Amino acid sequence: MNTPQNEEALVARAHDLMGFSLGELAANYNITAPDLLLNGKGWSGVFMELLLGATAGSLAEPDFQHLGIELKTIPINQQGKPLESTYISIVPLNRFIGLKWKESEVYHKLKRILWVPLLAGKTISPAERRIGRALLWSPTNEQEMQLQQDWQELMDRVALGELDAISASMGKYLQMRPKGANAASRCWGIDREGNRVRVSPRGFYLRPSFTQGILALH
Amino acid sequence: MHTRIHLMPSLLANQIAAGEVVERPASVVKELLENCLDAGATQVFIDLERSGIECIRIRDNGAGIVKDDLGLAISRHASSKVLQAADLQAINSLGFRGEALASIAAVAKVNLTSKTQEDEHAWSLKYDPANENMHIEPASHPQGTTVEVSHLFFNVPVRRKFLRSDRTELEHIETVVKQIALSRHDIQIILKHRQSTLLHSRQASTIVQTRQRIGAICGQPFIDHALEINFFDKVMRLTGWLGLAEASRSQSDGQYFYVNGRIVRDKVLNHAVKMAYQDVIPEGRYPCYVLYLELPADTVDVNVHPTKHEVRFYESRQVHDFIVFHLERALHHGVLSESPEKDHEHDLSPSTSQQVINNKTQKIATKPPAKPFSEHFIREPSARYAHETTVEVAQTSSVAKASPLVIKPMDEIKTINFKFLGLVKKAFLLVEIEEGLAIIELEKAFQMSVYELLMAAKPEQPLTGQPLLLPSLLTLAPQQSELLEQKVSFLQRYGILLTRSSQERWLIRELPNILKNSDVSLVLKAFVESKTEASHEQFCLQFAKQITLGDADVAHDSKAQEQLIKTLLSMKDWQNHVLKPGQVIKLLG
Repeated sequence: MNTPQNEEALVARAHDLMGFSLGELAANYNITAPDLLLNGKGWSGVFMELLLGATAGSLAEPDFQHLGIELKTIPINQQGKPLESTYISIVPLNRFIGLKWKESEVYHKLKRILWVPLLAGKTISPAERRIGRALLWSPTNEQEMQLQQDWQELMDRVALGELDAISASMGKYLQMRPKGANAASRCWGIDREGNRVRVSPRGFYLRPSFTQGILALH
Repeated sequence: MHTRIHLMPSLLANQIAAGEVVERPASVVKELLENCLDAGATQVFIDLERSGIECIRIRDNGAGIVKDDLGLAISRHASSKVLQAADLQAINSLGFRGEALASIAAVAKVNLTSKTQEDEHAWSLKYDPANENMHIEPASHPQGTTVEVSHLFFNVPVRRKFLRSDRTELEHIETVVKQIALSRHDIQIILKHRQSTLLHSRQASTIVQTRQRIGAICGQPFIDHALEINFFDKVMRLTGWLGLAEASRSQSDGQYFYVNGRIVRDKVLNHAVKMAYQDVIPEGRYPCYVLYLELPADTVDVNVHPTKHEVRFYESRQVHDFIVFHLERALHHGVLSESPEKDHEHDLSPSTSQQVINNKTQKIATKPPAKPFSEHFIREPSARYAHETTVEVAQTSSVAKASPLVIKPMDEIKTINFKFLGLVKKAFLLVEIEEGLAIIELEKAFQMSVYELLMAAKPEQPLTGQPLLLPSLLTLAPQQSELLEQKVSFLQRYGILLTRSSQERWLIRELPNILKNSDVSLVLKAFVESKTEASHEQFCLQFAKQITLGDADVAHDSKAQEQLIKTLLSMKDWQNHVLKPGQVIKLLG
């Protein structure tokens, strides 16, 4: 799939997909959607990238590099309520010195997002997931200020090695949670004394209450 | 017998408070030395007898104390350094609590001799806490102050017991004096114990003299193998010497960190230095360093603890990262200074380097701003949530205690004041009004509001539809699909936007807000199948009659329910509406 050349083309393409189920669309590409038992998590997102022609497979760049737009597939229920928090980026546990908000990966990912709601739920298989109305979003000044404050507060803790003091309840919009393929995965971090230690990787996530507000406004 | 509460004698209170400030002879030396520095002295002589337990005598050439203030100097909470609370925002002096001398005078005999520049001769104050006797007499003394503290803890035997060996107490004093000597290179300090000189720090104003002074205090190997650094940005400046592996020690006793000239042992700073020293110092060894951090006084809080080794930064993360960033550059990449050409001509004693840096910064036309951090970080006032109104089910209302109920349909309901009592069986709204009790069918009321809304749509003023997050799918037979095609523009008048995505698939993309969570597809199917050309009124009525509550807000949200009741009651003759939403029961008895 070729990549859209501008925002309008991207949004138009996303709107063309509206109402279709992933199974229907997958059939067009001779792809078989995984069944629920295989855990469809992640597959929907990858498939949406394919459908919309995302360019950056890498982690640090926005999905549509040339447009500076990040693609976020967001599972919602029938009432339009997000079913889970939205992963934004990995927490830089070992490379944060002097890192400012505007230089952070979180900021760059949140700058402009194409939200693609996906009707999902426990009883809905990946093939049955239906695509909702995509919307292009940038944080308002107020939202950005709060996001920055959340980020700042969490990164302050990280910088001082207080990882153990960070709970998922911190941050109004943005939270920090363990992120890893399994509980045993480790990366380098800093402890309270300033020593380099092996810690479990963390990710930045947007709270469902926040993403719900975004979806409701459009 | 009752134990009564009484005020403590001031001496006892002072003795208790002294426990916090005066722990050992070294604390006395520290407090007195800081007073010397705050008094602007350039020479300080310290004489000790028996490691300071017997006598500590400290003489300086500072501003001195006028006669009338001598007595005040040893009373608690008397200070020349802080006049009002606002001064605490930006403390530039080392002392500020106004409790050092008073605390010392509570646990030792104090002899205070001082002369200011204006005085013709000196005055001497002798104070003995044993009898709280204060005696002032003329004395001979050059400009400055001598404080003699003798018989430390003579009246606090417990403290005396806690003192360690003379040797240990002396080491503590030496540590304190070294700490102070490193904080101000422009002050001559001589430390003597029983007439023998333990430390002589000469005034240093050139780079060579400064290195000699540092070497005398921290050891020659340290200064020989230290990286001299000088970094600054718009807000902070970090200067000093970083010892490398050769000068590492098995204890952390070679570490001096100063914030605005004050020695500190701070968690944030230690953390930053430790991070930067990663991989430089062998495991189990401690680096030596002398570092000076300077930043605007209003961005740091030193008023944390009496012994003042802790500080609090308003922007600890920024301070932390500034230190790690620059120390890593120095230790790992050999970058020692912010400006590319290092100027060895300048003297680098901390007190005068201020001017050097200021001159430099002026050249680059940037001055440290007065309020540096505020713009970096704007804290939002905590979010205020709109007060949520809860609907109470009245328990003492007339309804509850009324006995014989007579159901009597009423035609004329005029009131619009009501009390929402609650939802019964998920289907009926129970409302108390002046005329009696109204029972309203929720779904009918909903249909009625839909009807009224649709009826208000005019060809020239169509309803606005809201885009749906999840467009509903409408699948029709090809024939019906063609029929719907012809009615798309008719439906648009009611805020219903349909697009055809294939031969038989339609997407309901926009709906009026009230229909957002209702299943419209069935109603639309029926509408298409009716084939006949519906009039505006017919369409609205059919649509309203067929629409079901579904997941509409009024199905579960009491606030929406209340709003619905309000709308309904404000309509004239609502109980005779075509949709017959409810009845009113008159209460008798």
